[in-house]
Amino acid sequence: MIHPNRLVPPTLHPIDSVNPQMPERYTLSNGIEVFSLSAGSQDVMKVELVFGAGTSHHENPLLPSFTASMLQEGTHSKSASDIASAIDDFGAFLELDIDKDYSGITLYSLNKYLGNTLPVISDLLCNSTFPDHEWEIMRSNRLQKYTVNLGKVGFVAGKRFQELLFAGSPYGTTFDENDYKSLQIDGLKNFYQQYYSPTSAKIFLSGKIDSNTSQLLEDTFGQLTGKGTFLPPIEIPFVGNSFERKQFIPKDDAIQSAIRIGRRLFTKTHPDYFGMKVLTTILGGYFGSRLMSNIREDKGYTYGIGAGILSYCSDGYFYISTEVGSDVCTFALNEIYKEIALLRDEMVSDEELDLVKSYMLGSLLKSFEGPFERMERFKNCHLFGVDERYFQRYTQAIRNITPIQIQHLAKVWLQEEDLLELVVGKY
Amino acid sequence: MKSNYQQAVLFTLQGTYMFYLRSMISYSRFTLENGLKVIVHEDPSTPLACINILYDVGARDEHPDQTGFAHLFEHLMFGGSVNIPSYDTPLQEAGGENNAFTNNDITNYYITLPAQNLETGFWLESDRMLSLAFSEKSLEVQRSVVIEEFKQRYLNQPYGDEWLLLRPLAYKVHPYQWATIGKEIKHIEDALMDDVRAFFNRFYLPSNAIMVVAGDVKHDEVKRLSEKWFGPIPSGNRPLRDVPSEPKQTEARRLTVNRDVPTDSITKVYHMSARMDAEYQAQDLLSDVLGRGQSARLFNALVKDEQLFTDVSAHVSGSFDKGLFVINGRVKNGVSPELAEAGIQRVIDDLLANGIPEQELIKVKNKAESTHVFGEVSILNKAMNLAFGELLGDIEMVNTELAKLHAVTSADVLKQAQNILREENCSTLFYLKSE
Repeated sequence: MIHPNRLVPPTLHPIDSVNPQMPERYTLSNGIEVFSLSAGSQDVMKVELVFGAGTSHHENPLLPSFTASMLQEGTHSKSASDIASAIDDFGAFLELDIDKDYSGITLYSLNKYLGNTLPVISDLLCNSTFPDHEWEIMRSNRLQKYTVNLGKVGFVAGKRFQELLFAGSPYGTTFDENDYKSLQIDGLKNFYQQYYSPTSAKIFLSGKIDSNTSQLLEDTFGQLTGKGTFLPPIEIPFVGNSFERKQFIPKDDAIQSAIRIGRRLFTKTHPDYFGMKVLTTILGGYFGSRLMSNIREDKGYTYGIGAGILSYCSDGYFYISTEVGSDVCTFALNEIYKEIALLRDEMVSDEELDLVKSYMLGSLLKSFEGPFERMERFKNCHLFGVDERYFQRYTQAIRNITPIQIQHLAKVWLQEEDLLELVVGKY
Repeated sequence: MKSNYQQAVLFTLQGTYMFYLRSMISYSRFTLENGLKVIVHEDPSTPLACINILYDVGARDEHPDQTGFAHLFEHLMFGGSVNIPSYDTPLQEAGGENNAFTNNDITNYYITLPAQNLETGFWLESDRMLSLAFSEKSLEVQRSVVIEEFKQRYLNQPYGDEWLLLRPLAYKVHPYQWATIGKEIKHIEDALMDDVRAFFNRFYLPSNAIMVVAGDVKHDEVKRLSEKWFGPIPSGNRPLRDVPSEPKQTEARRLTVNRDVPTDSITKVYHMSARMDAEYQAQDLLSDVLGRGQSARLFNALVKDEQLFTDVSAHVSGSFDKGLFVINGRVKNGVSPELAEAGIQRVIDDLLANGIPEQELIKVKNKAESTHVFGEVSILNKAMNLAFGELLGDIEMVNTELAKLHAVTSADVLKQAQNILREENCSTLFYLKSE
């Protein structure tokens, strides 16, 4: 048997274009905007109703969150267990999600049962009753789970990090045990009345769609009346906040400490957004990143470390996140700062930058696999104030960025004195 | 798992991957002279390709004094191979991503990359099947990484060690008595380079592997690339598995521990069938009737009606050898664990006494079908399922599993409940808050 020459890698073929399929848009007769993306060969469907009702819409972030969850706990005609059965009987899945800006009712259904499952969703939306009995069970169970989460350094760090970075902003609202106890069901009902109405939804439909699907959607949602319209994201002015740069929450029995380092940044529309995507990928956005190579693959301090940027409708942030052995926490912090300084002090090599560019383009390509993923990418543009040419601009920006620009961004955005450092656990 | 970097983990350790796919999945197959089995699934609807390589070795193949080794070894597979110093760098240059996982039965490696760079994947995977670099530095670092993984997932989390306690309670002889991460950190600390070499030479052979190539690929091209890159690798002797079978449990086992947690937790595990046994599907559906989701019996009775638990569910482990049927719940604060456990027993007794109405069985079958079809959306899922089917000796199960589920009757499920859900077949763990 002849061995191939294993010292010569196969020729690489660059990814020449990423041209994702975009959804069609139309409106139902009552004005609800629908985005519809047909793809895939499996007879399945994802139907997502999105509302501008995220946790930033109330001073107690638990209130919007409980409101979303309580939607499946009872309607005028159905009990909580009726609703669960109505979904499960047809093999469907119901998810009630919330983030800072939006909340969503998501249905995954086999196409053949869509006529059975869609009406359940419209019932939740129009006729939820927030029964006292279910509310008390949910509140006390969630509170109990919250106390379990307080035993996890990662949970405590993630929560506190957000509160500190966004203190004074609706994105930095905080909660504790008392906020669970002080919530009143009437508050949830009012929030529901104010934010959930058929006409304040946008509908995102993905899967194998045919004309029958559109008709079903029209029949189920197009005739409903409501008073609201889809709320545009709230404009949140940038409130400067001040805190001690270094924060520590002790946990004496921790054998690992959670580290979060970061700062506030900006939304997806900022001119430096794409550049910061590339910069933070180099730092900690893939397996071969500098932080992974150093902290994990060279020192063995951690199972994983990552960095990146995330954005909301009106704000955003940069983060580094890891859990490291408590005994090596100080060393790990030093190495993290060393890697950040290196990005400011030295230009990234062409070789490393080319690798990151290839990785990012491949990753982008992969992120469009299948109808649900494609819709998710579109939705994350549309709801966050950027148009669908975002991906063309993103691809161009990745291709064109230079080592000088990367270093410049590091100098502007990654100065050590601007970075919040939070450790939960032990030093 | 190599890394927790990518959060989109497709399969949990506990058998979710046992839900196979429904509508016909087409595939072709060939075997190289050295014994490597290759399966091709063409799906031109994607610009991607994936390569999934399953090695027939898991934690059950470890020596009792050297546990956690299969998983540690999985990490070392990324530490450079004989001709290629870095595995990840060329793959990233090709726009690809990879990960791997180990469980008690198998070790599975997967790559996704743009289809035009498929050959880069063949080059990388074949070189590490040929031989590793066996770098001391890599061993030293990955020992530390895995120890940190041990801490992060099992020691520094509330209830993290529940399964480290349950496995040796339920299994007295079979190697399922230890978790994939290993019995204790010391076993990982003690791993030596000689052990690493021996493990590679014994298990990482073409004749002990199954490769699935899926996506925008063509059978003939996959065959050409397989022969070119994998064909010259020596076959080796496929290792024989000699795993002791677990004797029948004859009396109830109980363990109570006290830990610094805010809430009591109860887990009951019952011995059940192996993945390929005829009654597996009925047992799987039984776990759904009792404990899958918010319309299931345990949730309705014990979270909603009686409010003994904040959460309670059931599932099956789906392991290749005889597995576990698991019921787990977090007890509501203020409720005694004995009272909560009695609640679980009442739900079981009711099922044993009154059976399962047809409509309820249809419900769990619909859910199973739906899970299958949604699983077909990803090429990587399809590739993994083809590999599991081939290893289990029936690749066609990707297309026949659903018919087996549909054939199950209420009487079958009741019979399995009678077989399994007996206290003398059960190990119970009370994981209680310290006073």
